[in-house]
Amino acid sequence: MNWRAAILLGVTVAVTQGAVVPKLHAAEPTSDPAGLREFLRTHCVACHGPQKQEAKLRLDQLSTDLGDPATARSWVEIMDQLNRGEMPPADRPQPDATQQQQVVRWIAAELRSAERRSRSSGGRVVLRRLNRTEYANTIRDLLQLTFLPGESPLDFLPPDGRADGFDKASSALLVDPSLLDKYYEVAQRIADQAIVTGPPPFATYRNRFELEDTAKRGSIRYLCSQPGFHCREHDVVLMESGTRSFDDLFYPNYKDSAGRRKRIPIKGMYAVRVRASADRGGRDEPVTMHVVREGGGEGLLLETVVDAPESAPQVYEKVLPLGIDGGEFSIRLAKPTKFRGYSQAYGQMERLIEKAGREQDFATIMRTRGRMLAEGIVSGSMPIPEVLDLSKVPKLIVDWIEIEGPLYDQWPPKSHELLLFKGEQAKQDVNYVREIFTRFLPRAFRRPVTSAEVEPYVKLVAEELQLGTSFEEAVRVGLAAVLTSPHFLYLCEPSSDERRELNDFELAARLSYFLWSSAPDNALMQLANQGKLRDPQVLATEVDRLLAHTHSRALVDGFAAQWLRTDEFRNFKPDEKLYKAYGERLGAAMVAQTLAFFDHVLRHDAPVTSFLDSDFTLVNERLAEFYGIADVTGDEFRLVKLPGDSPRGGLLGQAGVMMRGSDGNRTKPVSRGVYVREVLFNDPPDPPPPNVGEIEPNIQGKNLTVRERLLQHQQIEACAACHRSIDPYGLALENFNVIGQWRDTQDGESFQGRNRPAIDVRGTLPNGEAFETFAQFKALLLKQHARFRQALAEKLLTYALGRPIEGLDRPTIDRMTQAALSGDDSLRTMIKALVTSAAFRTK
Amino acid sequence: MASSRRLLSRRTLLRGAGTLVALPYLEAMMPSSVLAAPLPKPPARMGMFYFGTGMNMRQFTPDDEGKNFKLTRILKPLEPHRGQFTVLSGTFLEKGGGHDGAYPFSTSIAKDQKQSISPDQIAAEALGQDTRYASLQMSVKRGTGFGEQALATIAWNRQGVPLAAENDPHVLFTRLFHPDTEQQRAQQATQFRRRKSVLDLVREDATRLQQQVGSADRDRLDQYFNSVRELEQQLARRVEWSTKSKPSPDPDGLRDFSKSMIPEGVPGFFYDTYAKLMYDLIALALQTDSTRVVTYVVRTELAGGVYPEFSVSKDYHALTHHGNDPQNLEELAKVDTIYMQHWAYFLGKLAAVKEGDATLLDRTVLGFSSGMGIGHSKDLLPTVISGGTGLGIEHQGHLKLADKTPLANVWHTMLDRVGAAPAGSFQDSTGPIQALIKA
Repeated sequence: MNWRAAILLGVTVAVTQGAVVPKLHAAEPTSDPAGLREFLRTHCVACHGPQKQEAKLRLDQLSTDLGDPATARSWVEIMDQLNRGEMPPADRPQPDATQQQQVVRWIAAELRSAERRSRSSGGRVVLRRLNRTEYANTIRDLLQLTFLPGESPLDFLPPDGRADGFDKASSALLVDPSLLDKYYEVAQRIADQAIVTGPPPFATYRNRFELEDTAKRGSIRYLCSQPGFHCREHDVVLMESGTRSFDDLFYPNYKDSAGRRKRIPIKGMYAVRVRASADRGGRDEPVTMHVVREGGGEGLLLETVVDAPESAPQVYEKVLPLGIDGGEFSIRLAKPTKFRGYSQAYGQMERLIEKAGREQDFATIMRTRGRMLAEGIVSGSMPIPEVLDLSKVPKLIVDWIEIEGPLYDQWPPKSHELLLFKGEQAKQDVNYVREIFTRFLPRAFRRPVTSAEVEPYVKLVAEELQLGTSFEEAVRVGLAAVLTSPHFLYLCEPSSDERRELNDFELAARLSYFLWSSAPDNALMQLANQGKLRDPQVLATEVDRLLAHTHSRALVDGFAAQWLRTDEFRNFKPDEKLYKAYGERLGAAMVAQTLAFFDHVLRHDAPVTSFLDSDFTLVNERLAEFYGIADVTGDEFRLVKLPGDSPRGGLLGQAGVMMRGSDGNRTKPVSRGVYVREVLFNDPPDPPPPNVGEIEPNIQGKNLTVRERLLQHQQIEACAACHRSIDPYGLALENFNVIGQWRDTQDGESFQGRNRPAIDVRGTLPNGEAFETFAQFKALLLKQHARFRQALAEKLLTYALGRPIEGLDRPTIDRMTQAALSGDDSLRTMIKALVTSAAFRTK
Repeated sequence: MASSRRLLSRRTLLRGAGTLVALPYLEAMMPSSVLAAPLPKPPARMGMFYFGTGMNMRQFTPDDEGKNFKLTRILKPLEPHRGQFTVLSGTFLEKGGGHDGAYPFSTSIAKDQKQSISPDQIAAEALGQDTRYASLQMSVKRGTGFGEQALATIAWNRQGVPLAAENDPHVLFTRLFHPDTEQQRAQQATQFRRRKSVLDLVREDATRLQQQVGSADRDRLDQYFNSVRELEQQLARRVEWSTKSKPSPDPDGLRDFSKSMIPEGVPGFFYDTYAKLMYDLIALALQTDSTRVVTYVVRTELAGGVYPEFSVSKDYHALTHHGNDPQNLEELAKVDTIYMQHWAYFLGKLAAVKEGDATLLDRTVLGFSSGMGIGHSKDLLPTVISGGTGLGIEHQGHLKLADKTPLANVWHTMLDRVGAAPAGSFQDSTGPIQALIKA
């Protein structure tokens, strides 16, 4: 049977089964257990029944409650055996394939529903802690703290668990002793940074090294005698080697505990400035300058084109974090000219001498040395003739380099002023402590707080004061306690087992953690205070305000990244030999494109069907070049209109999605098909039976395409049923190769040179609609926009509520999709329908 | 009179302030006459190890059985330790296979199900009472990784919560051995006091909150309470231990732990150095009796598993999708062999530590396996038990178990040998592996 016949057969079976087979994505299984019993009686019970219990399995009395683990285990065994074709044994009458598929599907559906039931919260939002991102954002907003790289709470807290696809799920956000320990440790760090004592440990200092002083420093004077380095009266000219600052640029009057001078006394923000000009040496390419610091892992600090002419030098500056470990600062040309080359003759003669030495042939040694002297071959390097004319050599002219820091936005920091709000003159007593925490606690707990709740914190701080702890340090202890309290760490919505409406403050928190992954800001808290937030009109206005704020980027990095699985795009590294066009920068751009695309749809109210197909996409220079789109420069992503025949519209035109569905040297249509089902339709297919292999690679002599091998697989009846509902979605994308390049003929694996088979994407969707090309396939997908919109609504609701979707959520989902359809079909409209729904507004 | 010479107890030595204690079982601790008194019995120790994403079992599983079996390519590095390990074929993870296999690995409970206490923590409850740390969680990846397939830990507490692992040998070394200065001790006393006050305070906060929430929320809050309680116990233990000096490892042959070293994103990272630092740490921790129970995720699921120095063409996960491509299989075997070289190194380390007339390896039972076999299967797991001959383990070279023997049987055997086997049933175990137990 060829593949076309297999497909035709598939369609026929699907049609004839139409009436009896439960819909694959039906929430509740509908199959009739009576038919099931009949199947078991006919094919299984003889060996697994009252008489015999082979493999200790008895099926005539097996319960159909798959919520019981032991029962579920037996059913899984039955499903696996049937799928593998191992039962009934070959010498027994074989069941009808259709019947067998029905049984297998019933088991799979029951298993899924049992699994969902086991995690169900009865449709209610369950108490959950902040995830790591929310924690970090909350601290940022609550205390207005900025963190140096490597010192943010994100760097100290362990990654969070996920359930139902998101790191917002209560069931995955566990608390264990080690995490609580971490919370306390991080809280102490934050307190140390938020509240300061006295002036900054190191005053900001501007340190300059005039490069002409190179000639005056004994340790680096040698540079001036090098051919590619000219020391002049007021500057230096670099052509080959870089500058050094060996004995200069140390922070003044400071030695560390080991008695060493330090260039950078404390990790912090510093400004690096260089006054420079350049001479291209008559070339087209501009001169690029590097400022480098070795030894501390910082390496390249500043890379910039220097286009100032020698007559008008400019100051080039960058502000960046620097640590205490690095060494001296140096300035280099990105592309230095080589002044000396390797001398072949020298190497040859040295080898000759070495060999003669081993053989104790002293005569040869003497003779060779003599020849080297006579011919002037005295060094491993020799001048390169091209640099004899210096006017043609690119030059970087450096006047001075400056390091200024540590830089402070302000001192004491904003967080200090927020907490110790009365300033330095305040009387530092217990009453002040009470005022401090009475002001701070409602913001930290995101609700009004009673004085009884404040008192334990006052007591804690007062005890420290009594023991002689300084006022600042004592308040730090109290602050660390606040940040370790369950009221801060959890999104608390106190309630009994009865459903109730959220109060204004709880609603404010749900809204801001949904859209910002952070605490409500003052404006939201004010609305809550005034009791206005429960007004749907106000709520909708607030959605607009929150989405317009830069903090709403959290929805892109939180929701979109997890929904679209951008962190999986680069799971498999493309084969370097087969895909030379690929590089790390391109990979990063692929991930960024998908997020930028979502960001655009969100902010510009593009219809959500844009994810299925669009006449635009977002690219930066690297990606535009890859897609063959002209006139895009720079790393920023921007909107580009796509020509009518471009395949790059929608999600499935994006290279990252395609790369995710590849394994480095060939495409994986099944994985791509599963992606479409899970991401676009929220309709995960049944898991594969155990021990199914991957599609085999081509054995020698045979050159089958992935498609051909997959269709062979479909000829196995047990596999066909599931694969028919997965593979067409993946095979339709075969025009995109491993790295998402468009292809008309097979590539990758061993397909090279001429005579490569043409790509064939033809297929039939499970609903019977057939397509010939990728464009037709996308048109058919677009026809299923309602299914997609529902899936998107389900994903959004899961993310917003932190719990799995249940049957009872259907009205909320419908509300969201209806709102979108009768409005502008934007994410914003769906989000507004979501946050004004009963599900979002009740506990 | 021989009996009047008081034997130094191990603990006395460890407590001696500033004493350089290399070995808890120094020859000096032995009685002058070997016959005079029984030796203080060195404690039993246990370690569990996870090699994620399976191995190339075609080059792992030996053909023949018995003590003199022929070592396969991947197992070849273990040759010097013959008699100190048993390769167990036939182990099976009912809920394993695929990349979710790290979840049931030590508990037999599938991903997305409520987890339960893992064997190492059962052992820690029995063995960990007299050591500075009841157990040590190590991993190539920091944290728990809970929710992802690449789980970073295989240790779960009684509440079924994963225990976070540490991946930086420098951090671990500091925690275990870095001596405290007077100033640090004073700071520590302050820290302990504050910690106690803060824990008291937040527990009260949580108590008030608990009275206001429904049953589902209360379940979640219980995790918080358990954590507070556990931290309080840890604190009590730390307060007690804070007055005792940390042991100092023998400087002879000690590797350089002075710098932080983690596998992600460090230029010049060299896995060989890292692996040896991590294994050395385990040996040192056990040797100094800082802990008696260790878990180590040597390789996680999916992520990493190969480093530039291995010079293979793809990442480990990509290689396991070998599709019978000979080059992929070859490279898999190559990587697995490197990991086994490190395992052999580790066994050598433990065997070199004398404890009375036996070695540290004799008093330590170690088990490793994976959450999947080859081709993401539930069976064909790379399972090996090492050490523990002093705990009544009789090694069998290559032992073929009945098909589908639960992996839990391996943990059951280990728990049994360290004297921590739970009464009654244990996971889906059908009992300790009798062939491994000395008659």
